[in-house]
Amino acid sequence: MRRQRRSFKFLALILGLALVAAACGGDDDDDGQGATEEQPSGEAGGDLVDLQNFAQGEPDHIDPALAGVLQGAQIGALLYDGLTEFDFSGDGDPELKGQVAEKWESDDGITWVFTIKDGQTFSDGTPVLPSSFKKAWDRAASDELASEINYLYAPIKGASAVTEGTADEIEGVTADDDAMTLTVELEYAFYDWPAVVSHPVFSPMPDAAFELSDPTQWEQGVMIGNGPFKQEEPWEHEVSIKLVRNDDWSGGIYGDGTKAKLDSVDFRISADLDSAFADFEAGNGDTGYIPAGRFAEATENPDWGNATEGNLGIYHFGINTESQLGGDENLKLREAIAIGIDRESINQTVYDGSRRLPTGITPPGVPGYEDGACGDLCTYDADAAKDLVDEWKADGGTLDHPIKINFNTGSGHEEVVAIIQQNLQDIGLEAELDGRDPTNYFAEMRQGACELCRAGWIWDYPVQDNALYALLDSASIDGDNLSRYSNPDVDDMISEARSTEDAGDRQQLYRDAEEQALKDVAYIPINWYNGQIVYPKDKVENFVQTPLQFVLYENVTLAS
Amino acid sequence: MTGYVIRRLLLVIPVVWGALTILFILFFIVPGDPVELMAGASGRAVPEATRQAIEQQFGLDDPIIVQYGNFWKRTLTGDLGTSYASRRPVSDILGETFPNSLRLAIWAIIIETVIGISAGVLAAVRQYSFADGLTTVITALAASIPVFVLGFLFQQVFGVFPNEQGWPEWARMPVQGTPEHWNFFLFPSASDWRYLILPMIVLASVGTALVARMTRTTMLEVARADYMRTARAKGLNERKVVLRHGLRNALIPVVTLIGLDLANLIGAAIITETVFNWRGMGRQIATSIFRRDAPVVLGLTLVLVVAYVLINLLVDLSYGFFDPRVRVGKEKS
Repeated sequence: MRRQRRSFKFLALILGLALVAAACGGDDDDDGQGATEEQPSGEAGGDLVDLQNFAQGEPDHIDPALAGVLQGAQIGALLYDGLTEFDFSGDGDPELKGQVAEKWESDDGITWVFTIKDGQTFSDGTPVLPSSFKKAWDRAASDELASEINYLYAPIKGASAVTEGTADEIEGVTADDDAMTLTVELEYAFYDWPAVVSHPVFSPMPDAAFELSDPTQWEQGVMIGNGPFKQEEPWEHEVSIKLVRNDDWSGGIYGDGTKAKLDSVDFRISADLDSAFADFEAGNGDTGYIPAGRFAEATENPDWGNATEGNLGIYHFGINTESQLGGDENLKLREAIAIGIDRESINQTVYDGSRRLPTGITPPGVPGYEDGACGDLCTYDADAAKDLVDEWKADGGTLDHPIKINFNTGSGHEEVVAIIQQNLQDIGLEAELDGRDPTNYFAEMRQGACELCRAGWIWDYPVQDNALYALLDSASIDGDNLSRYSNPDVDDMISEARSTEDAGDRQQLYRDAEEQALKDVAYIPINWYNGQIVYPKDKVENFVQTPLQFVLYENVTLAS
Repeated sequence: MTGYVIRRLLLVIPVVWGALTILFILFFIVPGDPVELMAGASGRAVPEATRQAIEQQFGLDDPIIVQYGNFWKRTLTGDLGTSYASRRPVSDILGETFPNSLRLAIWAIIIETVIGISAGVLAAVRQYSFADGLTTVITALAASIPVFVLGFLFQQVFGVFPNEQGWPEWARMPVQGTPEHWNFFLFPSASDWRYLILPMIVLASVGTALVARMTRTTMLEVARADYMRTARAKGLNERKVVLRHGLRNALIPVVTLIGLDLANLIGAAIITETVFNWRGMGRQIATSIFRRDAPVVLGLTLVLVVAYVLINLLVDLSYGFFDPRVRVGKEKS
């Protein structure tokens, strides 16, 4: 009995402690993770809880100089404004506008002079000067930072020396704070350069960023920027990134562009996409990222608005031109593969109809896009494919081994490649699946392991060159040109396009290069990506995701 | 007793050395280049100079034996290294994840202990009764439903459904998140309690079922022992017979099970931590293995191994409480 009484006492002690602990904590509805109380907001103000941006985990980096994946770059884009930015609000092609740059000019496409607007400041009150860009660019290209996206600096004269650690400053960048000009000298004529610098990696940095002994640690503290939002507390890893409105923002390119409307955005970080969406469905956030298989259901929900417009991303397969599938003698075989793949079936079966069937590599939204770069080679026609296979065989075509369909495992590509394998079998071609460890997949493909290999591309900026140079130019072999495609005519067209001042002529050259590569069947487009975001229609307004997949949180408002 | 404890504590050294050495070697055997991951998380090709810079920064260009030596030099001075992926100190990551995992595991163990043992005793005392049958069915269900299924089910039933029905916020359970504020280490403050409830139940589900089943089995074995008959013959009431003589003797295998489970739950609650977005070690280790982030995996494993050995020691020492015949050091006196 005594023991029993002691047990009761122990239980009572635990319960008592629990109650005391609860009382000590007070009510933390305002700062706890459960703080999802909707605040009446009116036109401006309010706190948005975002469950979509980090629905699949946190990124490695949010520093715009380091963030190689979109979700991290989104934070960089909200904290920093660069020289230029694309305005996607019109019906036609996006328009490149000055953000921090007032104007830019070049006589030869090699030397560019950007004039910086007066009176721009970082959120700590220090001015945004041409030297803020120069020092930031030296940092971003440096071997100390070793950024995965420093390749974007490659066109600048002397940038590679900084990346290799043989120089501290990029030779081709000169800042004149008195004249408020930033002069950039490139290695070659490149008339799309003002568009390239719209990428967040070219953001300016305040002096505080250069005082750290280890530049990679900037993102671990409160990053000071010049964008529509600012940080007031550091990144809480695996939990959230909280941004608040920067009232000292100099303004954006959309609307009146004076300041962001929301008081704050709380980017919650989730480890699992389905759980993040369940959290959205449970009413704990204002945006959700649609998981696989729920696209139709989510977009038909009458209570939800959605941002599911097309964006600048492509899912494709490369054909290694140095493999058994390459060469002029196998052109019919490659054409058969291209038209033998049932893209619509893939889109419906695997992606719940959430993607668009492609008509080329370059998607709509990139200036210079024209429908039909593929010709007939993106249209499913099993009978014609069979005929082509027969003709190829009649011409003496043979395979050394079944066609290897390479893909990175564990990322949802299994169903896609299974359909393709069946498609190829249906037209008389034997194929085997070659699933590879995702951590090394692209490295292996770049080194030549690709035969018919899965890949994708998300545009860094809406310029044809961004994808076409990387995918088609022979200089990109061992890099992103997984097909190891080498066609001197295509190389010449891309090179000429870069140095062509007239935008129409330039875009036509890129189009010609794309059409030629597709005719050679070096790449097989499968689908173009769409947005996958939903939000409660009665609460969230003006929610826009640009084709570059950045959400313009500065324009979002919460309904009263 | 003291000598025994010291000997057991010294066992930590070879166990930690062995575990970390095996892991270290495995990281070099398994496919996947951490530099490639660091240099190109986006899958894009990066300049060779960037790859080399990263290799130099993390000493990955050294031969494996040099890296191994550097790893131990660093670790023995208390430096767990820097994450390849996030470039953050591993000690920071450990500080963020270990307490949360420990808290969740302790709460799951409390459920396992209280509910599991109670249900097991009830089932054994009333063998073949309705209560016994119900316990058998429920424990079989709990043990057979995969944790991730139960987790997603709970999210839908206690989070999504109430929201769709327009129930007030207090009637809806959060489906993701870790309590931010804790008191006395173990008690979430005020509304933060809500974040603990679903994960701890889900995490405890399988363990509770196993504890209940084992308690029932060992109680039934003990019930046939001579000392139980003697206790009854002495005229003790049934409650005393069951709790003092029966349960106490039946608990040794149950305590072993619970102890091992506590050690496992701290580092291996990957699914629960992922489904409920609990900022814990299991999820972190799983993510880091996928990213080939060796410093994080090795640093967190080091702590887990130590915790595992210590918990096992405590379990062994606890046997003496339940059965004085196995009390350490008693044989000499």
